[in-house]
Amino acid sequence: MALALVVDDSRASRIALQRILISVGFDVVEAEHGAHALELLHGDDTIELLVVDWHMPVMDGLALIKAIRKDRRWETLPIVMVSAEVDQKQIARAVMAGADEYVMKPFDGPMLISKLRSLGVTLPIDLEAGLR
Amino acid sequence: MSQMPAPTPAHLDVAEATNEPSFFRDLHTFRALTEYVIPELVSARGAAAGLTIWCPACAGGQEPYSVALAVTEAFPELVRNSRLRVLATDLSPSLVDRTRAGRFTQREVNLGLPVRHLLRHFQQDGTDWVASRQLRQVIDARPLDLLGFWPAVPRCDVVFLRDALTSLNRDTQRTILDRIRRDVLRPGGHLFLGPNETITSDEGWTRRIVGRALSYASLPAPAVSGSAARSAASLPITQGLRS
Repeated sequence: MALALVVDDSRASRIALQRILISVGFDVVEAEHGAHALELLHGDDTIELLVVDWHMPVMDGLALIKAIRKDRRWETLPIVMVSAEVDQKQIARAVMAGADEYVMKPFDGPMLISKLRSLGVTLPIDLEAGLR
Repeated sequence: MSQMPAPTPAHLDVAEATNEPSFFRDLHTFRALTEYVIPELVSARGAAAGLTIWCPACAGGQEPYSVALAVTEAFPELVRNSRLRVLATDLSPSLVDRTRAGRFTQREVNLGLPVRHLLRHFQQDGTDWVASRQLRQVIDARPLDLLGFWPAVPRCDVVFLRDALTSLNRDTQRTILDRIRRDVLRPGGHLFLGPNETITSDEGWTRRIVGRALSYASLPAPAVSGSAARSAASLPITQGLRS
């Protein structure tokens, strides 16, 4: 099963993101901050998608994305940032750092799923897959 | 036209339960547009020819702006040289005004608008996002009642009639489709419907597979169909049904 890593210091956000991703067929592992996420990534090469918050203790989302993009193993790993930062310049910073997509909080399932589709992420269960 | 509801398993509720307009809804349709349809049309009509794409039920503007964005990104020269026109019509004048203004809320741009398009083609204004002048200039937004006269509708190369007819009865759907086939769609043009909508060949259309999407094209016109059929199709729907 396709595995997604959700990184957010808010348990409520992690649960919400997990529910959305499970509903389209992902298996989900969770991390509470960037350093924890890096540990998980180093220990599991089957992670196919990263969904990450910006502001977190220990290591924030921006630092995590930069660290990931420096490593050739993860240079094509799809990364979606889901954050309460809604300023255009801040969003541009996240994209410059290596985020492939960006969802502004508050978010819901259709928002995240629509962004995954536009990113070209193959959803294990997809009602909009078109002709195959 | 027959309608068949898509299966909606309970476990998909979290992700899929929305009827809100979204940018790039049914993404494969937009890929078909830029990867197959427009290259084919440009090749057939010449590099200098203009293209007109019609979104007859544009709502708040997500669909016509998705079309404009997709074409702008894939064929910037078409937009630079003013050879793309996206006609966006709707029954509601307020929705037409919104479309013309190109102003979208944070929630709306969160639904399906790729972040790179957002950063490149929109400017933040408070909590709203406003489409660039270049993008707005591509959009020609006008009020139009699909059941009335269509004086503002020119010949079009592509029509996006996705989920716009679902509330209408079968005869009215067919009359609208006939008018598009006879009076609007250029030869070689494409009609896109919603993913759960279909029309059959006995209604004068032929189905084409374009990438992972389906489009419809006009079957060759009968040799002697008479002017009566053409003039009936040109009438407003209410009169057409009565005649």
